Amino acid sequence: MDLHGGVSGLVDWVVGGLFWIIGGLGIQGPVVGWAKGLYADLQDTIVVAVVAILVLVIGLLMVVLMLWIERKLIGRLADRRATMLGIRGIGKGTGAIQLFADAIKLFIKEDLAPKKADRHVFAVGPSVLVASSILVLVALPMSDGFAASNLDGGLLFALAVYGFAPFAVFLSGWSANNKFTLIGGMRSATQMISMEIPFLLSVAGVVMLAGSFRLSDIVHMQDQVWFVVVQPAAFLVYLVAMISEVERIPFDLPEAEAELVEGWQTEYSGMKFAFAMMAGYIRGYVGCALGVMLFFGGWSSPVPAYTVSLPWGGEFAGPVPELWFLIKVLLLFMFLVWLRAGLGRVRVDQIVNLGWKRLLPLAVFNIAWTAGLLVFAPDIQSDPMAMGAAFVLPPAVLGAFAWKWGWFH
Amino acid sequence: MTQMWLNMGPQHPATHGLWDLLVRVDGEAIVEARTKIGYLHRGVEKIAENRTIEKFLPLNDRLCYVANSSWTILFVNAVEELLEVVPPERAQYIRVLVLELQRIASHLVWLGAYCSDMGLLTMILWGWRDRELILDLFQFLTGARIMHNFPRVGGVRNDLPPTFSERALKAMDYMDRRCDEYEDICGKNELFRMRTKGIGVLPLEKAIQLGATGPMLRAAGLAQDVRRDDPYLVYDRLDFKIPVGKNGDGWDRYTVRLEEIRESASLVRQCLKNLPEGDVMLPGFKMPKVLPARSVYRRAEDPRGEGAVYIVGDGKTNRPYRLKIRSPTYIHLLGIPHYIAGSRVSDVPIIMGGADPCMAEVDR
Repeated sequence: MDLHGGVSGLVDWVVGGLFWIIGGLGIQGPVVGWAKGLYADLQDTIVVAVVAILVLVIGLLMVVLMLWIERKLIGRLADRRATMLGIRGIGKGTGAIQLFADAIKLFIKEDLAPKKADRHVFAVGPSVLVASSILVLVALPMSDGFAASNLDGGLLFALAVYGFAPFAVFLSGWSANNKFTLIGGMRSATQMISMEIPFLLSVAGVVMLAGSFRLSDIVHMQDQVWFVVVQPAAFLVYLVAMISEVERIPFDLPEAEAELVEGWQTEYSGMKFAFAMMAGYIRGYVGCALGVMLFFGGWSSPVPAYTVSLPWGGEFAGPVPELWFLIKVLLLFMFLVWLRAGLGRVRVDQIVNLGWKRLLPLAVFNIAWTAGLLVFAPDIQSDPMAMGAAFVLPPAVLGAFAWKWGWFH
Repeated sequence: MTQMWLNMGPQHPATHGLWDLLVRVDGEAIVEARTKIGYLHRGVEKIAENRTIEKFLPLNDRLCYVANSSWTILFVNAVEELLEVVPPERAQYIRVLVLELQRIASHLVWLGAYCSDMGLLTMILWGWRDRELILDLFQFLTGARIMHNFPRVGGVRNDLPPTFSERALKAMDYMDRRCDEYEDICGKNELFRMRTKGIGVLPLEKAIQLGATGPMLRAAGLAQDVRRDDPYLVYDRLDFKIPVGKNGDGWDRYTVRLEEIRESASLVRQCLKNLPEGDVMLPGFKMPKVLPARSVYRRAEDPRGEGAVYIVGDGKTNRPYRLKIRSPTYIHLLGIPHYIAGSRVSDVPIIMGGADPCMAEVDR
């Protein structure tokens, strides 16, 4: 039983109930028969549409959850209690409704644009940003059945759309006609140029091992061993480049609040700011979700299969795979929050150095090593232990030497 | 690429107060800079000419909102030198105690703000949290957390409350542990190193030319400290080290100030240990009706550098004929354009913050 089965059962139940009511009312005739036939034809389509809407809703709900987790966790790490807004009965003292309060505040604010801004581009920026972020959700399956789409090139699609945001940021920064937003937009472009390539190359090793761009195939290839074990270098590059793509500390240069006020977002207020903020968290969700699917076994359960007999009969075989997926995503996101609490912000020249001189060679080395192993020892994939040894040891040794030579400093 | 002027202030998160640093940037690189101050000018020095010493005392607390008592105590020292009175020894020890507590509080605020300049927002909350402890001590001792109005000409307002000693010692032990924690989150943090090492280098020669003092000068490598070179109060009887940096960059400013927190904690302990018995006010002391017709220049080691008060009495009234306050940060801020060129926009807050600006004191 997974979420997809549940949805299809629900749709069946609702539509069946509708027909039952119609039958009970005594309505008969060719139209009802035609409708029943139509439903039989369209049942799968309806289920897919409902699932697609659910994927969007879950994505947006995750944004709410992630924002709350970020606020609370970073508050605790900084030795304070963070947001505590709540209503009696609805999480009083937990900050449960803080985000909704924020959202209401932002949405009823006046929509302002600077006098000399390019008004149309200024408005298009956040819209493109949030649209391109939501579009990625289409390509992300949450389990075998529960997916808005399961594209053959799902990973390619996700990465392509994912890499679109810096353009929107650049447009926003340019159109606001403000020096700080201009610098923020320029920084976003710089960051994209230096980090996008390692980001794309880091997933190449995984794709080689999986032999497919389809995300569900990649997940199923990790039934034996997670790719984070066999592709540590790729995961490292992916993580760093992903944080940079999401523009979080330590790589949130485009909105460096210390020197650029709020960077490219400086002139945005109200709904546009809410969009920009939301897009950031959707991108965070997408980045973590891709990371989980590429390196942490996606929706597969991390614990061995088990069943518990329930007192009221029946058996419980662990949470649904979608839940595992979301838990893993949130754990990865918490790691990002932890990084944010403990790290500062790098400089522009440092991020360019990091991208071109550190991550790119690492990613290329990883690709070469993976390709070499697959070509010269193709049988290695059947033995997880050998695979682990072959993939982990050389990068580890090389990494140790690199550390000793001060390559990371 | 064309160059443009960028206003880093006066309403800007980076400025730590109301001042403006105009930087001309070529892309991200800074070509030149200008300082613009005076937004907070209140004419404190002129006010002093129209007030008696006692009435001017509380205004000294307003000279710097982070290190309040250090200015009041400096002013009181200068007045006492002018009147040629020496406060009781116990009062002197209590003043040193307050000065060093104030130094810790000030450096904690600086450290927090400095880290928030590079996006390390955890540290600013930790810094303010631990400053609360010092403020609690102040509240216990003086009744106020920020504006203490504690010292008086001829002593201090009141003696230590009964359990102050134990509380302060406990707080200092806590401070020492906290300093190790700051070391963990800042000093051992690769990102902190990346952002501060080699940033805003102020070489020793230039630092001397610009008139830098205090942590700015010590970070450049000169062990100069008024507490040792021109001792006042009971500093010549206390034992403390003067932390010194090497390169005068952002990193050295951090290490020097962190060491100073530790040294100050040790000074507080020494003060409490050596505290003599006796009065805290000169018995029977009254402010004279007329200030002597002399002038006194008294300097002291403010948390930010060498602060000084020049006070002239006219021999006719009980108001100073002239009061001049030398603010160390004023000089540091005006020096920034001399070494900021060549840095990047991201470094501006770190360079600005490295000077530890306190605008109330700069503009006076």
